[in-house]
Amino acid sequence: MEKTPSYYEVLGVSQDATAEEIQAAAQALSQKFPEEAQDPERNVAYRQLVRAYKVLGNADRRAAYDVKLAESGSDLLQIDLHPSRRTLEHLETVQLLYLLVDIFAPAEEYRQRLPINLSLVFDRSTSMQGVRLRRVRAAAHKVIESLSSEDLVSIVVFSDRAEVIVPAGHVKNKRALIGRINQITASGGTEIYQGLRAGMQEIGKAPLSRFINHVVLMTDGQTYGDETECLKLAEASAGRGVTMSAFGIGTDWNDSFLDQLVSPGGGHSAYIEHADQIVSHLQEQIEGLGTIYAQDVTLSVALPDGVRCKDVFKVSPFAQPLGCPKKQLNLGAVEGGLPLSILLELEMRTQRTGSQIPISLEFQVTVPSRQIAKRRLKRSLTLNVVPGTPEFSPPGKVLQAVQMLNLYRMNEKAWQELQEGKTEKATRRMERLTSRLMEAGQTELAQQALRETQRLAHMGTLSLEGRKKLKYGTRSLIAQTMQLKEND
Amino acid sequence: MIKCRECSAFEPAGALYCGECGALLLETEEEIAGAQLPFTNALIPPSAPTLVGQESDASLDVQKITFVIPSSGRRVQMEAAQKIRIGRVDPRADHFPELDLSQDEGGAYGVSRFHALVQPSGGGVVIIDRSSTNGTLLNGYHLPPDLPYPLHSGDEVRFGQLLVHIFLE
Repeated sequence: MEKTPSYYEVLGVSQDATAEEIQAAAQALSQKFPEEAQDPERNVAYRQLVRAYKVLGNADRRAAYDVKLAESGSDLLQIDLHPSRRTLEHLETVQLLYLLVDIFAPAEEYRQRLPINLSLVFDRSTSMQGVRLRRVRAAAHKVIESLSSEDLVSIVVFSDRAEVIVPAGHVKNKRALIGRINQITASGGTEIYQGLRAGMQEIGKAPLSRFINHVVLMTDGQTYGDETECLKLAEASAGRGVTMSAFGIGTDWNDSFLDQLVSPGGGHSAYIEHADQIVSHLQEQIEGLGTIYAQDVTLSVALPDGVRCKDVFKVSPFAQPLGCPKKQLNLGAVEGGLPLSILLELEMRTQRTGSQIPISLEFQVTVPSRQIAKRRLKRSLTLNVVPGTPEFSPPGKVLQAVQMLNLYRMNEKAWQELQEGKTEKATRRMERLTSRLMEAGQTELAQQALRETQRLAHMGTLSLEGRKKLKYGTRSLIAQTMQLKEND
Repeated sequence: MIKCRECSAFEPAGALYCGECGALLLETEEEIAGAQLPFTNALIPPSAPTLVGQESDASLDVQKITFVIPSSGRRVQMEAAQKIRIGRVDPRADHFPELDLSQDEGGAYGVSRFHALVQPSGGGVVIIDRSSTNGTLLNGYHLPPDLPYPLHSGDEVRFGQLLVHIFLE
């Protein structure tokens, strides 16, 4: 495995540095060498510096080097492409191709852990009173217990205003922190923006590049009128390397808003049905943060004419809709254990027999523990258009991911049909979903789907609880299935 | 196009599971007639269709007209004795074309809101492009706007990029 640093790492600049930045970095570094050490013949470090500058300081040589660098990089991350098919037929109609992309951290890197800069932002509105708030407090205790003394933590509670209960700082006196958490009481409405802004401010007190920066939002209500501001804040923060996860408790929160909120940073949004699950959800989230190897992984897809990206879905380590890439798609982080996997759905228009269709994916990754910022990695795939109807057998992994994604979509479609007043259609779809869930061995979800089908048939509505349960249930089914496959 | 064996819904070739009922589509693929029609524009060099009035044998006594849209698998049959506006629905402008191609992602294929008109003419039917933005192709021939051209069973029409097969009975 190649371990020599890239020329960018030698100069300590990111891959998108300008020519001026490169020159400045090279100059600054060379001045660190005393004059007698500035001898490329005898000083290895100086020789490396000169070489790096010779290549990166020249636009042509740099471009050639970039290509080489992008195609290698397997020591950095292992990226595997699994297409549902490698050949296409000549058809006048649209054809589909699924592409599963698995991104793994290299094995020996797992334990390289960067300290976490975490902000917990909790809803303390009146509706959180009682068991919910008690569980939130318990969850906060657990998080405090599990963090190490290098980690930073802050805790913000919000209703219509925000209050910083624990300002950003190292976890030293755990007992004092827990004492402050115990004083959280419920009152007031829900204004998420207030809480988020305060949380982001606490996060921003630390030098971001030396930490895994993450905000966990936990809410049980709708926020009124400040959604746009929240989304703007999430986007700006993601640009600075702060990611976010969001948990909705109960049934009254806005699911599509939370989905949107976490998407700029490639984060996770989930449904917490019972207060009892708050602790485990939060713990799982924090454990994941602790194993992050690469972060801020983005993807841009270059497709030839006639090929369109229909949808992209993250399927591991958690399932999350990513939508279609406008320019770049933020995929989130690569953790040590499970791969970061995404499923692309591509739609192909008429292609001539004998033609070749190139699909190329460009990733950009940041690996903090190795001081690698925004390294570009390229992977590509060529599809051949062959005469006749080629047989294809997609890899089992792809098949299962698509199967589960399809169940999630059936549920979404039924909901959409119901919104459009097509109750009968929605009912029929829910019926079918019920039997598919049964077939998949998901008895609990199938029962929920059955209850909702009956409700639809008799009353023409779905319950809010059932809606969320099925949406997030089918969604997490995708990730669960992928994990089973991974452990096979 | 492949047809789901369980619920008869159509899915694009290469789909793995039926979006309608969730059934596995592999090994149950059945090519439908619509997708296997000969590509007339590939086989025959496009030649100008004759304008109404210039031709000798128009399809006479057409009762029904069927539109088959292979990309979505939709099949629509209508009485040929009426005016059929073809385009995309726009409720705000109170525009409800008889053949609404927005159901077939017409917008993405470049179908105008009021793209073309199909109407009865001397026992047969004619098609008129309504000065649409992306034009109408009849068997590969780009129709000049606002002129009636007779339709024959098996004709291949493209509204923008959207392919539609036409059958007359």
